[in-house]
Amino acid sequence: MPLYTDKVREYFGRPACPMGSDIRGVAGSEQRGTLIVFAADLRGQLLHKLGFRAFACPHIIAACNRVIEQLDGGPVQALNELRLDQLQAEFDIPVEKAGKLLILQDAAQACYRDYQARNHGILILTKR
Amino acid sequence: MKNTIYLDYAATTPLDLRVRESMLECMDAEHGFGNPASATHVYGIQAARQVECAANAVAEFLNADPAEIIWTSGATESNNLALIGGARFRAMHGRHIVTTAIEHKSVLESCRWLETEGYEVSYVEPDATGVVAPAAIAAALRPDTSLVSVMHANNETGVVQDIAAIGALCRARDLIFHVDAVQSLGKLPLDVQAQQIDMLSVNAHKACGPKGVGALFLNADRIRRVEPLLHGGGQQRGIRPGTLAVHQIVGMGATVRILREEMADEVVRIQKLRDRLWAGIQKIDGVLLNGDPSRRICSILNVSVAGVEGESLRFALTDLAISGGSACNSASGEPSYVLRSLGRNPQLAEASVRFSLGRFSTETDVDHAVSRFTSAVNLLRSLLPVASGA
Repeated sequence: MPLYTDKVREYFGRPACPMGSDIRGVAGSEQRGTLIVFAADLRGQLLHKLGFRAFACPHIIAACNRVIEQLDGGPVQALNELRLDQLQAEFDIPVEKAGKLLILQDAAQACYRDYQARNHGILILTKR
Repeated sequence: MKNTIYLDYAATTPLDLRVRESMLECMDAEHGFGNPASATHVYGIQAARQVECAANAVAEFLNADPAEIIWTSGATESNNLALIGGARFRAMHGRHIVTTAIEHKSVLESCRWLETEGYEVSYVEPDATGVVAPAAIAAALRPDTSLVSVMHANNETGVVQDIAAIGALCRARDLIFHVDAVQSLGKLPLDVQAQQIDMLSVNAHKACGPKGVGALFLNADRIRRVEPLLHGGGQQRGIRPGTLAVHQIVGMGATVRILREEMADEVVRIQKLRDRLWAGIQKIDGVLLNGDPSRRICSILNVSVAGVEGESLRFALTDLAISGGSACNSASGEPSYVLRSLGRNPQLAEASVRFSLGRFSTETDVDHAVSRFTSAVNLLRSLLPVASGA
């Protein structure tokens, strides 16, 4: 049984946060034990109502809550620049869960790619 | 720990104060610290009497003879001694063993050990309700089968096997039949004569007795001895040598005496609590009962929760002392092999919780558990990605 820090307990127990719908990124699967969705609205290039939904272990749910706390209201490109080592250290995430952390990163980056794709679509429309 | 509700009686139980008293009495100079093997002086004689008194209690509870009781350090040792010692002693009768896929690890690992010595083992699978059909045991028997081992009540699901029927079929074929009765002691009637059991493992600590003591019943008419796993001073006919832990044995005797007096009422009371617990949590969508709904001991309720991650479920229930599947297995982080044998998929096997109630459980405990369980599931489901969007 993995040990959990008080910080994991604190961040795990937070209620589901509101989640925007302008951009969205998904990674993982329930069958493999970890599924994470990040989504947000955009105000210009700033994240608004960044939220997550997850089927995941306590460490990863806590880390997701920390990610939205850190990034909501900030620049959208931060989704592409997550520091996994910081999250791992902050929540004392066991090394055997490194793969789950990568899924978290994948979901955040997928969300950023969704932003890029939508942004790219707008540019094309403008050129026309 | 103060605010944690204990619902893990299948892992271990609190020591009954009456048992504690009986143990303390024989740990002082007045009441016998003697070595029961020291038959030449009063200290040893007094200790031997205390051991004899405990053996009488255990034997009476099992409908056995006191001389058929071998004291051990607990059920793991009893199971090892029965399986390994029994198989080795009967090797000339054959080197094939039949057991089930859902036995406790102390049986399964003993079988694995025997496999390294050249024995062959058949692991009979249960049906989807956790019941092992006697016909399935019969079908696994071979001409060289020497030993059959089937647990009475499963430690994860509480499902009860038809021990008497399996005992009858073993007796008809002159096979030695071992039963791991750790979870059924104090929950179900045990009668080694009527159930035609040749070896039976029990311990004290699952029944509000002390840890560190157990017993192995050896049917004197059927299997006079097993090959010892320990070698030493010849105590207990050399089957299990070593100075007897008198205070532990006295504690086990007291444990069984209490069971004899109170078991009937206690079983009814605990079953009501378990049913109350199930009535509360089955209202939650996607909660599935693991194991046969009726062929269960009174104390265990094992459920899986669909759509919830198992580790998070148990983490969200940290103020309930419960187990995810087998407590002995929960450290491994692997989904329960018992639930997998019942056909549960890995996710449902992982998202399982075993509640086990006992002597000191109350309605208040149960109601709190229902409330906490409901809140935990609701929290985790509120975090789930919606199926269509994910």
